[in-house]
Amino acid sequence: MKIQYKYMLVFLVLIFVWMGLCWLAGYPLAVIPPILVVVYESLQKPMYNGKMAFKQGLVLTISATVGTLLYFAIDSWILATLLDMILMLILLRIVGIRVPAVYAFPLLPFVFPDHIVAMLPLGSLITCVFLFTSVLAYKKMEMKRSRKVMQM
Amino acid sequence: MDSTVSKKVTMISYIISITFIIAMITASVMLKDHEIILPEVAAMAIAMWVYREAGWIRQPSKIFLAPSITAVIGFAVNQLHISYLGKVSLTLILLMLFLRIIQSNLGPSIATGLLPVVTNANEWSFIISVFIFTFILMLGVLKFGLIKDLKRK
Repeated sequence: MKIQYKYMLVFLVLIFVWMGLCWLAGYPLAVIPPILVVVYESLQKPMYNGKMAFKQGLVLTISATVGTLLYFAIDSWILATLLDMILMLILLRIVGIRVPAVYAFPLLPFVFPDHIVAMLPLGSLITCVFLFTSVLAYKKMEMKRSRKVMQM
Repeated sequence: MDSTVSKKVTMISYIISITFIIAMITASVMLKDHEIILPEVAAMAIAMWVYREAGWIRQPSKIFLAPSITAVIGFAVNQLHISYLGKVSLTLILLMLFLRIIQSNLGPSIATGLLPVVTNANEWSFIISVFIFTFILMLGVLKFGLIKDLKRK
C-alpha cells in the first residue's frame, strides 16, 4: 500500500483544531499519544466506517479505564502490567478488532503525574469521541467525492 | 488470524511479547526510573511480533530509526523555553516532516516523539531506553524471519 502523504496534513489540521478547542475550554489533556497513533493510522486506511470508529473508541476508552484502575489498585507495577496485558488480550478478542495501541494505554499511568492519570478515562472518552467522529466524517466525505469522480 | 500463522505460534508470540513488555517495566522498577517505560513499545511488540503488521515491519531498519529519531526530536523540542502548546505543535510538525522525508508510515513513532513533551522527560535514560527497546524490536523481526512470512503472502 502506498503512503498517502496528504493524510499527514489532514492529521496535523485535525489535531490542531482539537488542541485549539481544548485550549479554549481550558482542558489540559488534549494530547494522548496512543489515541493520536490510531487516528493517524485510520486516516491512512482506504476503508473506514462507523462500526470501526465506534470499536476503536470503545477499546481505547476501556483500556484507559482498566489501566488507571489497576494503577491505583495494585502497588506492584509488574503485577499490574501483567494483568493489564492479559485483560487487553481478552478485550480485543471479545470486540474482534486489532488495535495495538490498546496495549500501550495501560502503561501511560506509569509515566504521567498522578493528577493527570485520574483524568485519563474520561479524557480518553472525550478525545476519542471528537477525533474518531472527525476521521469518520472526513473519510465519508472522501469516499463520496471519489464516487462522484468515478461517475463522471 | 492468518492461516499461515498457526495457533501455537500465535500463543508463543504473545508470551514472548508480553514477557518483553514486563521486562521493560521490571527494568524501570529496579532502576527506579519511570522514564525508561515507553508505552508504545508494548503496542509495537504486539503489532510486530504477534500481528506481524505488514505496514510496520516491511522496512525493518526503520523500526529502530523512526521511533528513535522522533524521540530525539521530541526530547530536543522539550528543552526549548516555549509554552507547552507551542512544544506540542512544533513537535507534531517536525514529526510529520521527518516521516515524510524518510518515507515511513510507522504510526508509533508519532507517540515516541510526543511522549517526551507530554511527560516532560529530561533524563537521557529516556533516549537510551528508546534506542535499546526499538533495536530489540527490530532484531526480533529480523531474527524470527517475520518478513519472509510477509513476502510469501
